Order: sequence, then structure tokens, then C-alpha cells
Amino acid sequence: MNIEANQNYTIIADAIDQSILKKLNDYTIISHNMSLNDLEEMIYNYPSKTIVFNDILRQYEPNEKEHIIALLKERKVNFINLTSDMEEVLLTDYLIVFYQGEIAMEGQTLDVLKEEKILKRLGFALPFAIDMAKQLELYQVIDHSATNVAELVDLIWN
Amino acid sequence: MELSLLEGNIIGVVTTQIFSNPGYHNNKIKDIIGDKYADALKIVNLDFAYGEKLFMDLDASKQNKVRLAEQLNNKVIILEDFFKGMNNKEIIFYKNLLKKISSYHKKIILLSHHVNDFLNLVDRVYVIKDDTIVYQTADLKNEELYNYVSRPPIIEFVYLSRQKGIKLDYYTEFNDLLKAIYRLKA
Repeated sequence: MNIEANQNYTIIADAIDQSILKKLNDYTIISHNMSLNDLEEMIYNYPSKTIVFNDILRQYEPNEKEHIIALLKERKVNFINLTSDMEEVLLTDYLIVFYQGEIAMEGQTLDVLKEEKILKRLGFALPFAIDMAKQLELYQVIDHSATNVAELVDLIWN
Repeated sequence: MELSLLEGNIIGVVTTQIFSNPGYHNNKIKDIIGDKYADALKIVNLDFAYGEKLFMDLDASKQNKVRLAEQLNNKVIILEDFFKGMNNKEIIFYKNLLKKISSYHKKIILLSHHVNDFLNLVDRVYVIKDDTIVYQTADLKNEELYNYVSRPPIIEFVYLSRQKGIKLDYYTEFNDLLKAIYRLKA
């Protein structure tokens, strides 16, 4: 797996197991849940350039996730977010999809999400706003896509 | 708080509690589950060969399935962050399995940080903060609930649409909402 500096990644997987974690052995992997305050403190004192979250962001509220990402940017720490929550894939511009321990797809997040049929065949749903926008485009209710719920609401009703 | 006293058949508890693994790390799965472990593993859709593995060698999703298998004979089954690590296909499968298990007169209590995990599954939701019930409802479409917890995207969509004066009902199924939007736009 080619991880470049100055790039944030989301990795979604059918199973976040040792085969994936071993590929990220060069980095510190945060696997245990912690309070937002403890995570903030850890980021403030974090000595490396890249941090790996092992499916721990799901415990935080959406606004808390945004806060964590803003803090990481401020501290110039890149992150790799291992997750099973498709809503989280939009937190980064680059997405890697693992299936049965191997990379099945990767690329710019919005480009990968265009491959709806492959993703669904692998068992992954699209993020809600993107999925709904795609369906409404199909029914010609809207003429272009949206990446978040607020944008989608504006697009449909304005 | 005595969770088993909460009312409902499949109960969702939104909590700020930080979940941690039980002290099973070095235990073999067959020892955690006990008698008839192979049958229990089969019910939760895990191969019996997992019986020989150590708990700590499983990913979070499989650990949660083992926790379910371990409690299958209990009257009350308590699961923490059960859908962690599952993809959409698995979530649908296990929501159906939990409904089936509940039909055998078992109470299932799901602890999670998010209401999204409870959609189309639970018959009652409790919001618990600092060991106290601060809100409870049988209706996940109840706007008052979201004074305490964040809205799942499908609920957020309807909420923001209503803010714009659109007369749209709340839905928890994607296709039902899609049809409703289409009807309003037609």
C-alpha cells in the first residue's frame, strides 16, 4: 500500500483485521476508544506526521469529527482513517477499499464512489447524500450530484 | 443503571459511555461461549473453526458476533457498539438476525453512540447520560429525540427539508423517502 505524505486517507474494509493493520505497521495505530478530550490532548502531543485511527471516529458526533480533523490540520498531522462507516469516507479526498484483505479499489473519493455497482457488490452502501442524489438524478429530479445532506436539500427544493 | 429493567424487546440505548473490550483477550472462543459453541457460532454466521481462535485475534466485528453467540441462552442480551466493523450487507443481515432472536422471547439491548444503528430495528430508544435516563421514546421519528442526540442522515434530510417549509414526512427506509420526494417534485 502506497501511503504518501501530506495526504489523508480513508480505508474501508469488509473486515478491519490483522492483514490490513500489518500493512500500516510503520505508523502509530489508535485502536482503543477514548474521550474527545483525551484524543485532543494526544493530537497536541503527537510526535509523528501520520496517525492511524482504527475505526474509533465512529464514537464521536459529526461536529466532533470535524473538530478533530481541523485540529489535525492545525497540528499538520495527516491521518489514515480505517472505518466501516460509509458516511466517514467523505472526511478525506482519497479512498482505499479493501475486500478480503486485498485492495479492491482506490482513488479520489468521489471517483471511487462513482463505482456504485462494484461497491454494492462488495457489500458497501454509498453515503446517504450521494446515494440519494444518484437516484434523484436517475429520475431527473436534480441534474447534478451532492456530497452532503444540506447541499442535497438545497439542490432539490431551491 | 440496571439495563435489563429497561422496557422493550429490542432496545436502543444511546450513551456517551466509552466502550472497551471485555477481559477475554487470551481466551479461546470455544471457552468463552461454552457448551455447543459450534451451534452458537453457526447461528451468528461464524464458522465453527473460530472456536479455536483467541478473542484478541479477531477483528472488532467478529468479536461482537462472539459476544452475541456467548449470550444466546440469556434472557437478556446486551451488545455494545454491535455494528462496528460491519459493512452494509452485514448490518442488514444482523438486524434481521437480532429480530429473529428477539422473537424467542429474549430482550436485546444495544448500546451505541448513534441512533443510526437503531433504525428499522429497535422498538424503544433511551438516551442515557451519566447513568441517568434523560429521554426515551418508541418513535425514532420524534423530533424531540434529536435534542439529545445527532440525527441520522435520513432524518437530517427530512428535518432540513421541513425547515424550508416542505411538507415531507419522516421516513426510516431509503426507498420510501425517495418515492416521497419524487411524488412532491412530480
